[in-house]
Amino acid sequence: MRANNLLFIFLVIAIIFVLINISITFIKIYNFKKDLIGYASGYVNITINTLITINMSRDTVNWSSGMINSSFGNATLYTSGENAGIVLRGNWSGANAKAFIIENIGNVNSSLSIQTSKNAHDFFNSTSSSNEEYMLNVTDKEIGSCINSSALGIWQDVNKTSGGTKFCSQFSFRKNSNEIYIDILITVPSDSGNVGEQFDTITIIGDAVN
Amino acid sequence: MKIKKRFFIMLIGIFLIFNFNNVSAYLGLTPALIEVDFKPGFKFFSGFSVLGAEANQKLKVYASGDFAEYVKFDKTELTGSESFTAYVELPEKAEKPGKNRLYIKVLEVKEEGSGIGTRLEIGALILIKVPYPGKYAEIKSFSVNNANSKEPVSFSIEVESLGTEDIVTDASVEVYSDNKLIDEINFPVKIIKKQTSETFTKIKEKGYESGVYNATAIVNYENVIKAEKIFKIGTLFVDVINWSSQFLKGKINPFNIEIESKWNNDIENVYAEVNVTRDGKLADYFKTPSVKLNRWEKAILKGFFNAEELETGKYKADIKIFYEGEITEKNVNIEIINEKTQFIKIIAIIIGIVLAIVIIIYFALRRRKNEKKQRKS
Repeated sequence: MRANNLLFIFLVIAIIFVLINISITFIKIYNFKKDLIGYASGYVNITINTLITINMSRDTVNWSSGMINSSFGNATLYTSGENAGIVLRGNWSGANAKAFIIENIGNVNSSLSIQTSKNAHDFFNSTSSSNEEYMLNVTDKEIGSCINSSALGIWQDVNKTSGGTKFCSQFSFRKNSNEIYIDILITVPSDSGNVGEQFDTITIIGDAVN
Repeated sequence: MKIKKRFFIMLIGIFLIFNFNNVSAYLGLTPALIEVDFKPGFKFFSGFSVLGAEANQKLKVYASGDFAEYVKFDKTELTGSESFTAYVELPEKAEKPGKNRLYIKVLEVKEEGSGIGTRLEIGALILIKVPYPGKYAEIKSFSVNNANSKEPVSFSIEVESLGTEDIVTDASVEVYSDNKLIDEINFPVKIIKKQTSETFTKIKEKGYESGVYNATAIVNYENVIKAEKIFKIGTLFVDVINWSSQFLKGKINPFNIEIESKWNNDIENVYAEVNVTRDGKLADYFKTPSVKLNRWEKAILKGFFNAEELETGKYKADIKIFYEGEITEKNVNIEIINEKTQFIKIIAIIIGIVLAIVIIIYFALRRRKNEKKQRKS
């Protein structure tokens, strides 16, 4: 009698176990079917919309605090692609100062222009006016990303006029050739007329091209 | 005291200046391209969707470029990935014929904070094609495929009539090899209605011999318009285009062989065998790992040349490239040098450059001195 009871309990556990298993299997098959494209019978009409999408996969440049070395009139800081930032005549840290990375992850080519709100003089207001720099340099991270460009790989003064400077006429969306670096160079003058907190906004502009 | 205070404020400023702010990860807009034919007073609208903006990201919507003043929006301020509609009412008359570009822009709105912030702006393009008065056409595309020797080559010209009148087009392609006309392909005459495009396609079944060719598409519709395209006809051949030529004595040196495929298909399992000899006696033999060479691709085969027990001097290297049952062979001269010899060469070059600079400066200073003397006298 006791043995029969024990057998019954085992049987109930076994049935519950089998039912749970069957439920899990059904749920999994249902989810799998839901994920399948074209699971339902009939025609599948797919329209691929054109999409422009610009991604900043590295959007932070951090030089930390620092100052111009004594006896020098200015200090220059610039980023250099994947390398640590370079500091000349100053003691900022370039360890976390690497170029911005911009990626075209849409499905159309775009142009790429950059506009700032201020130029070097607006930013520093150096009394000598010749002791300050605020420049940008666009280079291919992946070869063939920036097509039809005369400004590629050349340091250019920032441009605050509407529309900015066009660095790429065709910024490719194709895989393995759709990433660029934007390096930034700043020369900090010791005779800055602007003191205290300074700010500016860099606008990265991507327009679809056909 | 005042200077000290100013310097302290400057230091704080400098600290803040170089901390660049973050932006949202990405910003997208769909649809990105719309094409419209201009008609006087034509009204149309299009819905746009913003992608990737963070939930609390403020965005500004505006129009720029051609016909921007004729665009109205249902909303010009968005928060996060919203959708909006642009309503365009074109004028009765267009100023500029051809392709007019109207951009629907979305710009991230950022409060000015400390440091340098970045923001994204993207623009969808509405291409408004304004007809040219009378007959006008452009070659929209011209394509020729690369092929292997004797394989078919396809020529395709897409002509777009952009004028207010239909055009009758007579199209042909001239094929040049080394600036000599070797073939001419003629297409049947076609009437292209205004504001439409037609494609002329012809296949040259027998193809051409291997080489690089220049094709010129010529379309005559009262005016003549042209487009050029270079195409390559391949042959199963892997060329050796460069190789390492100097090696250091007493070392195992990397031996790089640069190769280039002249074939319009991928070639699997390409490798090299190299026999290095001096006065007909074998000095070393090595084999490189094999690589896959894609069509028309260049690659480097890397082997290792053992010069541990070899004397300095000139050697011959017999490079054999193996692929698809074929062999390309090239005999080249190489040299084993002492590390010291190389070091001396570098030093000599540096000394040479420094001397040249010194001489230039010397003559420049002398010239300046003479000019000053002349001015005084």
